[in-house]
Amino acid sequence: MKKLLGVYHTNSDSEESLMIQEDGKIHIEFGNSKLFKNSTLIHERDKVIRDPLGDDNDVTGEGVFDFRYGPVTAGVGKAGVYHLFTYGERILRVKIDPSYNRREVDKRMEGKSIEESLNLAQNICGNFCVSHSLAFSRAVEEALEIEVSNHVKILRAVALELERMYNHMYVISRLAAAAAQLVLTSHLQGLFEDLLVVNEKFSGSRFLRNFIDISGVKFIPTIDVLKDVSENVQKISTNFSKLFEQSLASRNYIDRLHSTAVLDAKSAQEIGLTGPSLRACNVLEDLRKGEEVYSSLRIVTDEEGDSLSRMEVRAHEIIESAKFIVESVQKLEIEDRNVNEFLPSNDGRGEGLGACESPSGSVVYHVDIEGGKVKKLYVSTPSLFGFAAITHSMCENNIFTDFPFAVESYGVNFADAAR
Amino acid sequence: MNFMYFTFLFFVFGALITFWKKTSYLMATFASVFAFITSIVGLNAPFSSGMYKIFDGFELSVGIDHTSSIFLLIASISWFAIALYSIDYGVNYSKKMPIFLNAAFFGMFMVLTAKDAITFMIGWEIATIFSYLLIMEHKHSFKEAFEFLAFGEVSTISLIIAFASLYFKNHSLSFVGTHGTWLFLLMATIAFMTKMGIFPLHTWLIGAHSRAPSNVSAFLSAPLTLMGVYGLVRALSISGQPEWWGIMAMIFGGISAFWGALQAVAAKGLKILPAYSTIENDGTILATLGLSITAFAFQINVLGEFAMLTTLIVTFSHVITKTLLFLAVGHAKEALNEESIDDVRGVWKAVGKIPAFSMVISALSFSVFPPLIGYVAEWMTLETLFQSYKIPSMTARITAAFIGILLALAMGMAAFSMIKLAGYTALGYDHEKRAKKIPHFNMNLAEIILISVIAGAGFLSPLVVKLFGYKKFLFGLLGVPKPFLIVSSHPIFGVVSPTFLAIVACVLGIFPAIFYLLKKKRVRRVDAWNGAIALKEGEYFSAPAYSFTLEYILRKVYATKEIKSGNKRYVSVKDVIYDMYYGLNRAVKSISNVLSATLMNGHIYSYVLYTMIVFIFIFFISR
Repeated sequence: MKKLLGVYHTNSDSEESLMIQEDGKIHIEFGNSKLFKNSTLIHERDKVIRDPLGDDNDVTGEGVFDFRYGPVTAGVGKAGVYHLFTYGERILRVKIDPSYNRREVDKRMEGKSIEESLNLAQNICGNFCVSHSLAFSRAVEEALEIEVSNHVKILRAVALELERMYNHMYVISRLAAAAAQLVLTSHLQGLFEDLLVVNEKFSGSRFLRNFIDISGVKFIPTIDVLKDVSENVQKISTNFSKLFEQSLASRNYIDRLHSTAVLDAKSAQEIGLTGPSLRACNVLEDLRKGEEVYSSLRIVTDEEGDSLSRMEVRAHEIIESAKFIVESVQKLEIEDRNVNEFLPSNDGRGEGLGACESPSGSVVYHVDIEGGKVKKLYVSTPSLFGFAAITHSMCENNIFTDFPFAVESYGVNFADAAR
Repeated sequence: MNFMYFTFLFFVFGALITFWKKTSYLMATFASVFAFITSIVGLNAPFSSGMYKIFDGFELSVGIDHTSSIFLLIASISWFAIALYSIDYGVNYSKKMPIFLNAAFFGMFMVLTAKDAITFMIGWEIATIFSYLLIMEHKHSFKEAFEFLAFGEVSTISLIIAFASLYFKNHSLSFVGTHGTWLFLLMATIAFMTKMGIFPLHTWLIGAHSRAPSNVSAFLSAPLTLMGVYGLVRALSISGQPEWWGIMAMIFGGISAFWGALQAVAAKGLKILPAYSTIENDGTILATLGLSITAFAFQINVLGEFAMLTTLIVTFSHVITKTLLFLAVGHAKEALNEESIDDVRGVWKAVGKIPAFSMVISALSFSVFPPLIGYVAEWMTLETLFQSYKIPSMTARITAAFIGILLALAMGMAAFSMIKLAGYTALGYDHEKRAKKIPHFNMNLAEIILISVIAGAGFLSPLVVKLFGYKKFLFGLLGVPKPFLIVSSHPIFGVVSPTFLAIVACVLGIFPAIFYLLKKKRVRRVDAWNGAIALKEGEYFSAPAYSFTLEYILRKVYATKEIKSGNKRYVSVKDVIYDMYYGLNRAVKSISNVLSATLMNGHIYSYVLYTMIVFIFIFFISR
């Protein structure tokens, strides 16, 4: 099923450049965005996020009020507002305002050099910095027809999987904390910290910043470092597997996630949802599927589409990413350590589309480069659709105590959505 | 005795000079003062006017004994406040209202002073009919007024049967020297329970209270239901104290208290919540009266007397506090012209400090806040129930234990609902609404007087106990001088001294107050905020949301429905007893249709057949 992720260029209603994801591949096609149900969401993404499949109006009635959660309050990680319409306990409708985090990073990238823009791209969202910088780099590389060596592709993939692992670990620890599973939370936070230490060994940065470069990587770890990374990742994965199995035996924990914020596959795709949240709705779609370096990767799906499924998909992805990293390090040991220099081959001019599978879904960049500078840029972030999915899946059948389980399970954040 | 005649006279005079509305209400105020004096005189020296014989067995008589004095004292305070309040409040209503109000007070005064069934019935009917007319003073309230009248007439018919039974047994309708049968007591109980709005005979009370003008709501809730309590006490004094009645009263009282409190929690209407609170209070009164009668039935006289004192104190607390609550709520409702709790927020700022403070004080009293009179009443209720183990009957003990659970739950829920009412209306964030300018001097004065009575009667509750003639429950212990300690039994079972509590609270409060006043700190007021920005109008936590969790958990009891209609969402709860009456109503209509189609169908033969059947039926009955 085609999913609209962005509208790059508009000439008229019927002639728009649409950023489409279909069967795990991104492409641009011309057409009318209004034929997609998430058209308004995309066109008004810098305003309030509403349920793309629901009513645009606020819900009213006797006793109904807007329980505003945010912008600055405990439990909301970054500045943003959840408007929860309720008559007490039952969540009737949700709208989300990410505008407090709107920094216009994407706008500021326009007119900047490619290097400056790359730096800004990773600033869009700190915990997705590999995803953003990689997607941007890929767009630039396509625009400027730059070839990337296999060695670099593997190193980038390892960085991306490390980013996935620590993000997923964080999401699962937040879910455990919301269910007051204090022992489990502490163990998961310990593993999260271990992953940050691994990141630092691998890239020189706990959050993998400044690792990705146009046509290459900025930091090349030695074989010994890679082996160390591989061993540690394996160990973390084993420990996590045990914890995960034990956590599934806790009814207190599982009951809070089961049947919470249920989303069906059709709605998820109409909203434009990608990533583990989509795969939790039993849709086998992942941008990594089409990449050669990921040929051995097993894509994880689940059936229920609830918070539990989303958590389980993330948990299995941690294990699969660890396996992938171990295998990749073995490949890197025998791979020619060839890294291209950034040498534009078409006078710094062209258009390119770049994407990657971030921990929460597809990050897609479309760049228009002229004279070595970014002339025009469009970025589609997974959190926008994640928030929209929250607004849809939280309505009517959920209560306030479900809220943290719903929000955390989507692994979204305001910085990513607001840019 | 002259004061009694003055009372009658002033009520009649007040009803006649209705062309001067304010003077008419003022006459009712004076009459209430005379009624109060009559009660004080009656407490010390009961008197009677003597018999006015009409024919054999039918004598009319009025007078005051100890029991009627207590009830008259309570009623007169409420009448006084309502009449004084009506001087300002009545400006917006017709000239007929003071006639009806004076006449209704007159009827109630007759009930309280009646020494025979005929006088009692006349007073009862006057009070009922003029109450009906008072409810009708509010536009579009015919249905509720008619419902009140229907229940009122059920009460009257039950009373006629009761008094007929009394006459057949004693060949006299006098309350003195006669003895009632079980039928008398049963029918009288049904009559008075209907007037008190006891479950499941309470539905009239909700519509009538919420639709009537607020001074009438106060009148219906407080002095009129008081007549029911008085009727029960009077009926029991005629028929003795059977155990079955005590157990039955405990069951109906306990269920009523629980049901009233439960429905009050979910109430959204400004006057519906106090109306259900009335059902709860009247249920508590009936339950304690039931325990008193059960104890007397087993000759446990100390417990019986303490339970009777509890009944009187709870009654006193309910009547005075509920009068204040309805008057204050009416004050706010009139000024803001709104019906729901959610829409009458910010009374303190928008309407005035006195009505807001009145709401808070009455809510605190109902929430058992020491040393207010409500605290004393609830303490006594629990002490009475704790002593039920002294009753030898296992049935009575088990009943009392379960009723104790229901009453304790009711008390908790009452506090919950009162926080909802006062918290949202008196102390809630205001809507920036402008209150309508209404004359309010007398309204404020009436509210201040009632606040003083609630606080004073709590603070000096030992003196109230003494005034009611139960000084055997006053004691001195551990530095608290006699008579400022109330004891619940002899030998001592439990003790409380609201006076001592109040003095300690005052001493502890004086120094912080002096310190606070001397500091003269500037108070900086800011808008309420959440998440770093000021709250907007639609972001305040609503009153229905406050109780939704309970409505959802008890959805089977409340028949809770979450309604969706387009973009509108709301929660619907109902008192399922209405369904019972709705079913009854439909059944009566169906039978009526069948009868009109068969027997009364306009054909002469059917008519003759119908007449003959009725004739034969009456013939056999009369044999």
